[in-house]
Amino acid sequence: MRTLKLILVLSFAMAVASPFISTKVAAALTASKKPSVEKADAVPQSKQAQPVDASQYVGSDSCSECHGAESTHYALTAHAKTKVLNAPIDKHGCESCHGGARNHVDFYLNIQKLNEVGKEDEATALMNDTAKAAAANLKSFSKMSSAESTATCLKCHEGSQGNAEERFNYRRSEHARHGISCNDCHSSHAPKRTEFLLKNTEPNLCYTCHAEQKASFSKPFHHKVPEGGMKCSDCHNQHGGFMGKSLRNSVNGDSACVKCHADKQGPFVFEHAPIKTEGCQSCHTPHGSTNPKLLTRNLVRFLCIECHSSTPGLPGEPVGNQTSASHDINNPRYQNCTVCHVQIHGSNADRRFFR
Amino acid sequence: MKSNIRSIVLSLSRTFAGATMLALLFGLGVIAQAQSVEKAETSQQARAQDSELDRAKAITTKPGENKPSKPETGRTWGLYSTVTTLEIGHRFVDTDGSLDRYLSDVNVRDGFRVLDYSLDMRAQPGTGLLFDFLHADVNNAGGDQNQTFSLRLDKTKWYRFDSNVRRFNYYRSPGPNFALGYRNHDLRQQVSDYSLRLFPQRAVRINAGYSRSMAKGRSNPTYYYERDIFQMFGNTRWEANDYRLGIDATYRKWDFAAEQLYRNFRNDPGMTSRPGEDLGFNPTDSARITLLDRDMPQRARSLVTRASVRGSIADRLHVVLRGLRDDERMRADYYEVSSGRNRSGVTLVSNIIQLLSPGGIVERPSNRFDAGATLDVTKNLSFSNTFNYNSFKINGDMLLQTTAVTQPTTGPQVTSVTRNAATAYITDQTSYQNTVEMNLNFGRKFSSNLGWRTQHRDVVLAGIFSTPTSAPSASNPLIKNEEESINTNSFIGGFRVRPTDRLSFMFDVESGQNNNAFVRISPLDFTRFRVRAQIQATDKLGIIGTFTSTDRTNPTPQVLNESDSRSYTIAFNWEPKQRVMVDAGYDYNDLFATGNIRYTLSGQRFFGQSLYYARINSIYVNTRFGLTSRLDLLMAYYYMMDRGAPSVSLAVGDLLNAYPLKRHNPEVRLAYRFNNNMTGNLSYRHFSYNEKEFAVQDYRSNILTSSLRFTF
Repeated sequence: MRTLKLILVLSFAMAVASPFISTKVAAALTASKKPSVEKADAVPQSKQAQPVDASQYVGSDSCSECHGAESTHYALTAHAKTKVLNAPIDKHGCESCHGGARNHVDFYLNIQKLNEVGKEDEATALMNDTAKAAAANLKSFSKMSSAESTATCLKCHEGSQGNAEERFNYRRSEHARHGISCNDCHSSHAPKRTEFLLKNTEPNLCYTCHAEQKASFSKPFHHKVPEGGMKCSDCHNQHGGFMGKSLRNSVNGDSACVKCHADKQGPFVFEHAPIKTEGCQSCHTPHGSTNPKLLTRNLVRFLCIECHSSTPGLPGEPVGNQTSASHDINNPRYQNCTVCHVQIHGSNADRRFFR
Repeated sequence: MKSNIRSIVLSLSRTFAGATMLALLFGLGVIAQAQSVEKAETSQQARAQDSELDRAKAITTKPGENKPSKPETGRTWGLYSTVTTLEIGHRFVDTDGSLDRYLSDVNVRDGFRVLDYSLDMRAQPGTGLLFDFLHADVNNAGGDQNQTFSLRLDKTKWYRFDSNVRRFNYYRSPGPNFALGYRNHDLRQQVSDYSLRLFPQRAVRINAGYSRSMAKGRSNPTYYYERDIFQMFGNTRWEANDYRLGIDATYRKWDFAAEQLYRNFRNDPGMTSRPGEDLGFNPTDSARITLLDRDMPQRARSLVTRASVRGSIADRLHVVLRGLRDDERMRADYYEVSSGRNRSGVTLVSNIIQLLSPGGIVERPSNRFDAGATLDVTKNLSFSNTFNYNSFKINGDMLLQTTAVTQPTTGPQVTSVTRNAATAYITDQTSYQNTVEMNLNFGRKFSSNLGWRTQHRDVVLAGIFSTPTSAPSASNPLIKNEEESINTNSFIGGFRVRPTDRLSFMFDVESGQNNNAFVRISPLDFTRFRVRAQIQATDKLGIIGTFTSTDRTNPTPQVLNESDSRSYTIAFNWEPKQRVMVDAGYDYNDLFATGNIRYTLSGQRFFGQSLYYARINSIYVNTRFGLTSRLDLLMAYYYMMDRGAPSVSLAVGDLLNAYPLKRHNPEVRLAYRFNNNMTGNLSYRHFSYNEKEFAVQDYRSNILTSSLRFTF
């Protein structure tokens, strides 16, 4: 047992230490092969470390001359607030995300000037010069990989400046793992809701991928998501977290269920152990069910008996003691265990949960 | 394996049959629909984004520039762009069949409602005096099953305040028989949260918050008494209050957060007998209750300290650490007095059950530690490691005394006192989990991940439950110590391909062993995989198809537990213009579970299998048609049918459980825009619920809602 614990601790220490070594190696390799500018582009810079080459930036007003709609809408979003902040990256408005626009603006101004003086042919030739056009391109999120796109956003949003810890673990989240980038749910320029820049409101936004959950919530017993009383992000941290299935913790580290069902949290003198060790999902299915109380079986007795039928000779045999011989399921009173064992989530006065 | 393939093929064929049926329904124009059609967007609301853009232009127009067009809704008030909506209406509800079941399920009642209220105010960035942004929302206030209230406001650099209050009315049907309950409740639950963040964009931020969760109401609980069951009057009232204060800061590339939380919880459930002598549910036995009064107050408090650090090293290594320490303590009292007759027919003059001082005492210290690290080796390749540690120990003590005063048929009253004690009653768990992953992506078109998860867990149940009159001994500890220790591993993998901008294909799999060691149906071997294809056929038409499969089995031969789930979904969204929208989907969910069980039937012990089946077909369609520039027709239809179990042959001892039922819910709403500021709505919703085996629970309901919506 101790050995296993030791191995786990060591493996984590190794995992943490190995990046240092890898970083050195990768840095050495990169330094020998690539110029330093490319190295800076390869990995996202943190917000404070954003390089500021003033000559490359033209300011958001220049952007708005051509991209009026985007610029105007931007004024109503939270991003516009960065104009009043102090970090170097915050001074640059549109260019904070899209990069310095000097080349972009110069390129299109040249074309415009050529057109104005009647040199349409030269303007067209310049327009068709793919190398120059490519050099003038800004960072376009629609062309980035999800990792690149996400890294750009995380430069500012990975920290606690939103909600504390909300996005701390995004890099290791289910969404990041599956190639979902911030732009899949958020839109900086045309959000359906300017609050959080969401492309759609919850839960419809979630249903665009998790379509099967819409059907789950239409079952007779469901959490009140379709009615608007709850939303997916009440239980799931779409930005990650440390629990499986992107579940949130309650404030004390328990499952998110007890945030609302506080009376089930205990602690109790007599715990129904699986609730604490396995979680509520041992017996309940959270999204929707055709079974009352969102149970995983339609009749309570089946749910209980499946555990409380200990088979002689199995390891841990006392766990889930089998029902007494007096519990004849022909008798109506033994058809629903919780009619007698009413405090099934835990009791302070009776180890059989009678009271 | 063969049966799995057969079931997949069978289910796929059903999926296509369902999809075909859906297409036919469309073709015939039969479907009208939408679950929450009352909340569906009208054409005007769908244009809100344009209107918002107009308001933004109004704000950002500089002196001398052309004045922008007037937004359709909302107005500009000084430096604020504001939109206010108010929808008030009345519901008329007509129900036929089981009212109890209807209230459990839909619980929409007659009456006047504030169906919607919202206020949205935004200042030109950085120019608000007291706030830059304010948004208030109210939904279904006045008695609906779900009511929500929220307020959010902020001022850049200074503060951000979020609050929300949600109120739920929960009704639980007593059910038609013991198997389905014979207990009910009618509760009002409220969950609220208030959060204030000071200096949100500065290097050091302060957070303060308050959350409250409460429920109160009446119930009819059942109570086990003298080996019979009695139905009582009950009162529920509990509340949990959380107070939190924290600080978080950014220094260079590092973020730090720390928070202290204090929670108090109080629960004051009460139970009393019904008037007169209660015969219980078995009137032929001797047990009777003439009076019962019970109080079992609980008080708990919790102190939670949490801290976290996140940062980057050399812009390649991203690290996060989080620790949490929780110290919980619960104190419970119990006092019950009753009179009646015991199971032997002897008169109980009084029977007092109480926890002796200091009552039930429970302590629960717990610790959690999480750590994650990601190394970006190149732009396309990264390695991650996540480690979780969690431990808690619940230690409870209690001493329960029962004082019974009986009156035999002859002679004086007899008093007997018995005590039951639980000492050092412990539930203890320690678990470790480590996940190593590799993420690889090639541009926008391909990304993949591979990982390995290792878990270890120890669970211990220990303690002594005894009657002190007979001292605990090797033969008298009524509970044995139980210990389980388990190691599990699982593989994680998946990829996403985007061959074009309009097509995305995702596959992910997780296979191995689950950590569910403590329930008998574990340890569980499991394989879960998902396949999802998303097609953006045009800018206006999106199609999604998903297949999800989960298989769980218990490798222990004597147990033979198995649980399988398949879900097939196809859905599409078509919005060719703001006046037309169709959103529809079909889902088939096939659930099967089996496990060896032991039980008593007609006095005989049986060893067999429980077989659980659910075969659920769901269809939903939501539509919006702008019939004219002023009149919208919004329709929806939700249909759900559980076909229960297929025809299976049962061996001796096998028990089949399934619960076939149907539910359908068509809705239609007409929304007439009198002008840009006022819309009249008339909606009709129908709910029909049919159970195959308990028709007594069937219901049909018609809900007519008329409302006026003002936007200004």
